[in-house]
Parts: sequence; structure tokens; C-alpha cells
Amino acid sequence: MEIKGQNAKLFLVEKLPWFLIVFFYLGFVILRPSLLNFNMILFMIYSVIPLGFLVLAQSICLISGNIDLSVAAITGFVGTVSGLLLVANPFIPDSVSILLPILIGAICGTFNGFLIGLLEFNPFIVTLGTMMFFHGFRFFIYRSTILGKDLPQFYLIWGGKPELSIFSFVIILGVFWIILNYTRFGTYVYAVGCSSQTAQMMGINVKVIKFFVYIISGVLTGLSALYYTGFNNSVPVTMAQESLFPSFAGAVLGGVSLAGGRGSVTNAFAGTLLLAVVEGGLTAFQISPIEREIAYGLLVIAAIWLNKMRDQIRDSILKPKI
Amino acid sequence: MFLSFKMLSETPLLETRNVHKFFGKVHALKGVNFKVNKGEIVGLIGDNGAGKSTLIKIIAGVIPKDAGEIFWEGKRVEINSVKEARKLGIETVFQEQALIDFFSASRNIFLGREILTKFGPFSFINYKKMNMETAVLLKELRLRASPEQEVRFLSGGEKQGVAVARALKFKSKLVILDEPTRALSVAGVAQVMDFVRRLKQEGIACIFITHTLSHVYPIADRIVMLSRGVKVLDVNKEEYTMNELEDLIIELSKKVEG
Repeated sequence: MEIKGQNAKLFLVEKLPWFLIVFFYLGFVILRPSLLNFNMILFMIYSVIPLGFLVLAQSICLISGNIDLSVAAITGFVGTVSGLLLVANPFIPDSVSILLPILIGAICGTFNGFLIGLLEFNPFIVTLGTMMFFHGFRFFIYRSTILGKDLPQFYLIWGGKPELSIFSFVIILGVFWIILNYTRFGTYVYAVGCSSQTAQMMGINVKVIKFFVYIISGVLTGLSALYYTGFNNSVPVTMAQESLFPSFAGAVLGGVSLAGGRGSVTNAFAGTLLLAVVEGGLTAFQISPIEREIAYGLLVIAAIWLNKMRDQIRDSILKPKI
Repeated sequence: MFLSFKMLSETPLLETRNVHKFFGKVHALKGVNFKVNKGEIVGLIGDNGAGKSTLIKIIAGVIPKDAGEIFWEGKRVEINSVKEARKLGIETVFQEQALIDFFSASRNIFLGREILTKFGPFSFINYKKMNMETAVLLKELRLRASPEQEVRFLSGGEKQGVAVARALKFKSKLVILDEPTRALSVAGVAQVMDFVRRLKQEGIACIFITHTLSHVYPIADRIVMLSRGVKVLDVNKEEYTMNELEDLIIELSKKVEG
């Protein structure tokens, strides 16, 4: 009986962000019953998918013990370059059109990965540099909005149709969950994040793992650009510009450790959804953007505290009793 | 005829000849000749900075040597990485860096050599099988830990046990234990000694590094002492009692200081 109770407790703390989503949503519904609406829930999830990719990218970097400050800037850059290429070449086949942002994102990620993984430069400084570089370069190439009507329909539906957007994201999330939990590569990402020194001693090629982590981050950033474009039905000048901090907030709310080696990508997505629920709720109550920002800040700080509590509870359950 | 047979049978498992290592201007190893026979337990002792860790890091493939040769089962080898050392059958347990704290015992034991199940073109880690094999290993070493236990909850001695289980599992020929008894309780030290005896039963040779002679004397076949990068002592244990050896070590240490 006691074991059962412990398991339930463990389940609760390990899936905490999901329970928080329900808690906040029900809270808002009690205050305003009109929020209890399927379309409302659908839209909340849908609107957060492009950011979801960035949270995923950030989480994988954080789990590997690194950081990626350039995710949002690369999204803007990829969206613009890929959009411009498609406008200039309207006869690009559909399948190639959606590979374009993924490929450009991967190239940007490779650049980060080369410097951080292979040359062992400091990830904070490198991605700070690439953040500024890609942000500037985006405006250097093109200074205005690319309109959706100039882009192929197939390119826009991924982020444009809520059901397809959510469904395809969940599939991709599932793939990454499997990679991180059930493949050698995933295990090594966690191992490197826990202790790169031990991983090295155990014969894991830490440099190569980090290199690939940033390529993956780049690919996910490219996907984010694709979905942002569809969601906005355009490539706005400000695309993803304010997504860097939410990418951290989502990951942290989901319990990803900034120290590396711990966290789950599914929980990180829950963290992203939590942001969306709080945003949706606060918007419904006509809370101004400035006040919302204050609320987010408090939420992130609360998340750190909550994570700490969670780890303590988790440890006390997992610790063998003698 | 007899002589040549004897020589053949006594080809050391590992031999280093005239190995040198420099760290900048520091001459950390000054031509060390060191050998380990098959199934032999060698106690490697010496003060901090004597070159013990440097020597085993070279053997384990963590750092390159600057000069000298390494022979493995009579053949000259270059050990350029931990992976290459593992391929030869050398398993190293580094103090405090042997395990990933947040990984389970079984994930630690199989780290880098996970059991995979093929699923079409993809390979996935088979945790169930890893846990089952780990349970057997832990039982063999008389460890109470569960395979799924995160190793950060284990005691120092148990952690060494998990690392030793790795060597048992993968049929290593030589296990290097880098100060396995440092910061361990008396019970922990006894436990580690037990693990080493278990390795010997399996015919696995062991280099046991320590500051404390009493931690290795009961289990060692041979005692080697390094001092300031030079091998100053290399004796079969049977030839000395522990007290005699202790006196000898103190004398040797004084000589170097003087």
C-alpha cells in the first residue's frame, strides 16, 4: 500500500508540468466558464507549436550541458532566406520547399556545432555571437515582410492548419523522445550533460555528441521557421524575435536542468503549453502585455523553486531505505 | 627448451618500457618500466605527484606518452583512446569520475556498450535485458543495490562495485583502479578488496592504486612504488611482511626528499 502511494507521488512529481497545465486551466475556467471550450484549447496548443520547436531545440542543448542563445535569431534568418528563395524560384517542388528551411537550419546549427563541439569554444559566447550575426544578417539580406501569397501553399499548411500543425509536431516530439531515451546517441547526450569528463573517460566522443546536438538544434530551428511562417501566413520582420527567453522558460517550466543531464523533452513541451495556457488566460482577462510579462517572470522564478522541491521529493522517494 | 617455454608462459599481460611524460617543464615520468602479469594484482603506491595517475592514464589511453613503448600480451601497441584500451581489454575505474551520477547502475555498467535491439533499420536500447544482466552481476558482487537505482544514492564502496561489475561483464583482462579506497569507510575498503579478489578469481589482472599500503597489501601479488616519476620499488609481496615493506617505503621516501 505504501509502495503504491509512493509510486503515485513519484508519477505526480515527474509529470508535474502536465498537472500544472490542468490546474491553471481549471483555475481560469472557474473564474471565467466561457474559457471551457474545445476550440479555445485547440488554439492554445496550435499557437504555441512554433515556439514548441524552439523549446525542443533549447532543451536538447540544455540536456547536453550546453546552451543555445541563437535559436530565435536563426529562426528569423532561416524563415527569411528560405522565403526569399521560394519567392525567387516559384517552381521548386513541394517536397523540396519544406526541406529548405530544415536544411538551412541544419547549416546554421552545424556552424554552432563546429565551433562548440569540435573546436570546444564556450557555448554561451559562440551562440551569443551567432545570435547577433544571424539577427543582423537577416536584416542585411531583406528588411521587410515576405507575404504568404508569394509562397507555395504546401509550404504554408504545416504551420497554417491547426490539426496538421499539432499532429506533425506531436510525431516529431515523439521521435525525439525515442531518440533521447532509447538510442545510444540519446544516452550519450544525457551522459555528456551530466559529466562530460566521465563520458569522455567512458570512451564517448564528447566533441562529436556536442556537434550533433547543435545540428539537431539547427534542424528544429528550421522547422520552427517553417511553422512560424505558416502560422503567420507570412515571414514578418519580427519573426520569432521574442522567442529566445520563452524557449528557456518552457524548458525550465518543464523541469529541464540548466546544469545539464536532466530533463525530458515531453515535459519541456508541457512547460511550453503551460506558458500558452497562462498567456491565453491572462489575455482573456484583458491583462496588459506589460503585466503579463511580470506574470511570466514570476512564473519562471516559481518554476525554479518548484523544480527544486520536486527534486527533493523525488530523491526522498528514490533513495533506498536502509 | 625449458627456459624458452618458461619465457613464453611469462609474457607479461602489459609492459611499459622506458615511458616518459612531460607536462610543460615538469618531467612527470622518467623512463618507467612497469609490467603486469596475467591475473596478477599489482599494488601501485606512491605520494601525490609520484606519477601513478600519469602512468595509468597513459595505459588507459586518456593521455599520450611522450616517449617509450607499451607492449600488450607481447605485442607493441599504441593506445590512443579509452576506446582502444577497452578493445584490448583494459578497463579503468577513475576515482570520482567512474560513474554518471544520475544514471542507473545498469546504464552505467553498459555505458558505451549498450545492449541494442534491432527494429528495422534502427537500434534501440534494451533496458530490460540490461537490467536483468546487471541484477546477476550485482548479486555476484554481493551488492544490494537494484539495477535501476541511480548510482548517486550508493555508498563509495558500492560505486566502486558498480564500476568493477563493468569489468566483470565485459571480460576485461586488466582492471585499473585509481585510488578506489580514497575517502571510503573501513567497511567500504573491505568491500573493495572483496571485489578485487573476485576479479582475481576470474583471472583478471588488476592495478590497484593507493596511498595506503594496508589497503592493498592483503590482496596484492606485487607492490610497485613510484616516486617523482621514477620506479623505486618493485617486489613480490611474499618476500616482505607488511611492516618490513612499510619501513622500506618510508626509507625510500626519505631518500628522495634528501
